[in-house]
Amino acid sequence: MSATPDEITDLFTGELSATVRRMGDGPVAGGAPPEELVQAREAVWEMLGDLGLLHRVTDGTETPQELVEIAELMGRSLYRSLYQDTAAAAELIAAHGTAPAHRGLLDAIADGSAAVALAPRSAGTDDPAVPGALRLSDASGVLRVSGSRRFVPAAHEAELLLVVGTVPDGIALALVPADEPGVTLRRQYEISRGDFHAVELTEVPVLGGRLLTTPAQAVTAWRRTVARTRVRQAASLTGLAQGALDLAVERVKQRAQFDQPLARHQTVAFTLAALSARITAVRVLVEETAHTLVQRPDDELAACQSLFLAAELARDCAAQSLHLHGAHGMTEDADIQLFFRRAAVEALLWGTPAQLRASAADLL
Amino acid sequence: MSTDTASTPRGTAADGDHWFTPEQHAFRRQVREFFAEDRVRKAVDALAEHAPREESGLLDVYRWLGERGWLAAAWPREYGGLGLSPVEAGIVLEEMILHGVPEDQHVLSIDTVGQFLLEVGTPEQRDRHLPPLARGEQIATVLFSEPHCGSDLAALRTAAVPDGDGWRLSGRKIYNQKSQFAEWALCAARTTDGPVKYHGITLFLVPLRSPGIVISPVWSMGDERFNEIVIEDVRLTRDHIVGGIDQGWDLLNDMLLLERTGMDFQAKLRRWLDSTIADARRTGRIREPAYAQRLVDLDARLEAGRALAWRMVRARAEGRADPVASAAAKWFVTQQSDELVRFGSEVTGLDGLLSGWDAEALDLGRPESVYRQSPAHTLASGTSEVMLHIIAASGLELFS
Repeated sequence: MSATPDEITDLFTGELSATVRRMGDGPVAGGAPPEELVQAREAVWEMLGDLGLLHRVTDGTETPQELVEIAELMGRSLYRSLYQDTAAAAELIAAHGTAPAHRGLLDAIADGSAAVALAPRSAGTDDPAVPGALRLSDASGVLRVSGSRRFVPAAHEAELLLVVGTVPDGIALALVPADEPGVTLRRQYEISRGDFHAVELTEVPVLGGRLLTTPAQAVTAWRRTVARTRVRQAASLTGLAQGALDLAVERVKQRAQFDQPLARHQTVAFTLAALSARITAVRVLVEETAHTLVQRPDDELAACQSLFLAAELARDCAAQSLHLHGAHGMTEDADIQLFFRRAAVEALLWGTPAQLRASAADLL
Repeated sequence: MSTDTASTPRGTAADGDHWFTPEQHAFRRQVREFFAEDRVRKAVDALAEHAPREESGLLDVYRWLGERGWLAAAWPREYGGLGLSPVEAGIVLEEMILHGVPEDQHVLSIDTVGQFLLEVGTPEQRDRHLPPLARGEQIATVLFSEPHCGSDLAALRTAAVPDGDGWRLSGRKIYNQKSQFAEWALCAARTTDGPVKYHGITLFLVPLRSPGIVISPVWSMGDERFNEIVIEDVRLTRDHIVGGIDQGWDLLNDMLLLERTGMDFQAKLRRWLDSTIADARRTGRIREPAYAQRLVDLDARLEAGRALAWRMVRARAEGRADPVASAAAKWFVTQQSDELVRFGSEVTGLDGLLSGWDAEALDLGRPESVYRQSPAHTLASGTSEVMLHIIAASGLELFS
């Protein structure tokens, strides 16, 4: 039985899901997305706040089943937002943030009025589990942070950035307001036409005057956050795979070649059946991993395995579903190409499958 | 990037492909010297600097190749070639692609439309159309697919209706490329209705600048646009027919089956893989087993694909082309495409997915562009399913 509110399920699988899919497809270069899509995006975010989704994250009542179901629904409709980053940040703040500013932020996250973007990557080749270098300074008693970050999602919409970086005595978890003068943003243009940003931080004051926790303690905290985020990402990619498969199933039922629907051709039917079976298996693994992490938050092996299987599944589903659309699948009018382009990025965001395999091998 | 220089498959680098004659090795060296010329490199670099979707029409490089007779090296001299064998033509095509020259126009104009005319065109058609194609001064394209039929081409609805001593052509074609630049297109149309859908199809050489033809872009995720072509009541005569009335289906099958060598695809994939290997060296990932082992595996598969493609070319040169083996070559080579771009993106990480619009894009965004275009390989020139059907039906005789 589903633990997700019906409104959420309807939003991401009902009539609006086609609009949601297009919401995350930005301009190829320059320019702003259409105003109606911006407004739709804001409306969806407000709805998530009204339904208390992030409130359940901040107060620690979100169940593993909810975590997986919501991430999968969002992935299935290619919903692009700061939900996952904000949820990860909220968990860290709830566990470690002791400054009054941190507690205030948690309240704002819970009611949907504040979103946080995670910024651990200094280059596109970085494994987020091993964040890029960061410089901290403490001139005139104010803790400040400097460095470069890449592939920060929707930084232009975030109220805060959680800048994660390697420092000499561990890992720094520094919250900084995104509108501080020392923060500069540049949109990055990439294959999924998303809203990633390059961020330059120059002596930016850290919120509350302190890091979320000591660099030494942050090593474990970040590792656990990465593991949980990988599970969310794996669920989202499983949803992406399902969304692509749904489109392919619809297409092959409608499209006739050689005097019968494509769906009646055994090679087509078996291809889709095999993908469906893989989705079922990966979905179960991801659900089990989410439960496991509640009991054993340091079980990074299961998180890595869930993510690389889901990442490869998502790319396979998107590529094969596009193929079954024929040349039409490559056109801008076909939603399946959104899945194909999006899968390319999402499959690498929290570690490439090769990186994840290497990490998993060390943990076996 | 990656690398500014051409890829060097092991055989070509060491003159080690045992199947080439000394003359053919010498010919390859000549072709390589041409592509190393300053003006050629500059022209190719300029193409690479095009913004995504900024598509080129006639290319200087094609014209320069045409001046040497190399663009259509296997065509007779009277039509602008050098009368060489398909092997020399294959060498030019492979080197072109390895040096980053777009090959689409070559495949459409020379290998498909031009080759059809050479094989089954009338003397007048050859005299008129082949020389400008061989000189790189014109582009020709094909109009086969329609909105409701791709692989199942015999279901086409574009029709040529008899009109006095000629025909009036009407219909709608789609997923065509380069027709915005092309003067002529080889168009498949129904001329006779009957109970068997494979009968009654004729190939026409259609002038694309005719009244009654409207070409509209169909934007795709690739850098080169598709076109939709609406043809309304275009008057054609016997002079426009290629290969005989109602002979289209047999011609298409015979010609396309034999033309598929996998050469263009293997060269393109080789260039991508070499670029990925260069990226792996640059990032240090070549020393990590998780990356190195897959690179070695892909390299082996592409070497197999290349050997297979060259075997098809040699078979054509010796007049013993094998449609089943050709289908296997096309299928095998293009099957590597998806894994190659995916693994390439693991080597480069997210940086390799930055597009040409981004100031920090690797190699002017080429890895990202390659990723976007990769699904076309298992669709173009006959889908993978069509190739497997040929192997199953004609090779293994599973359906008899």
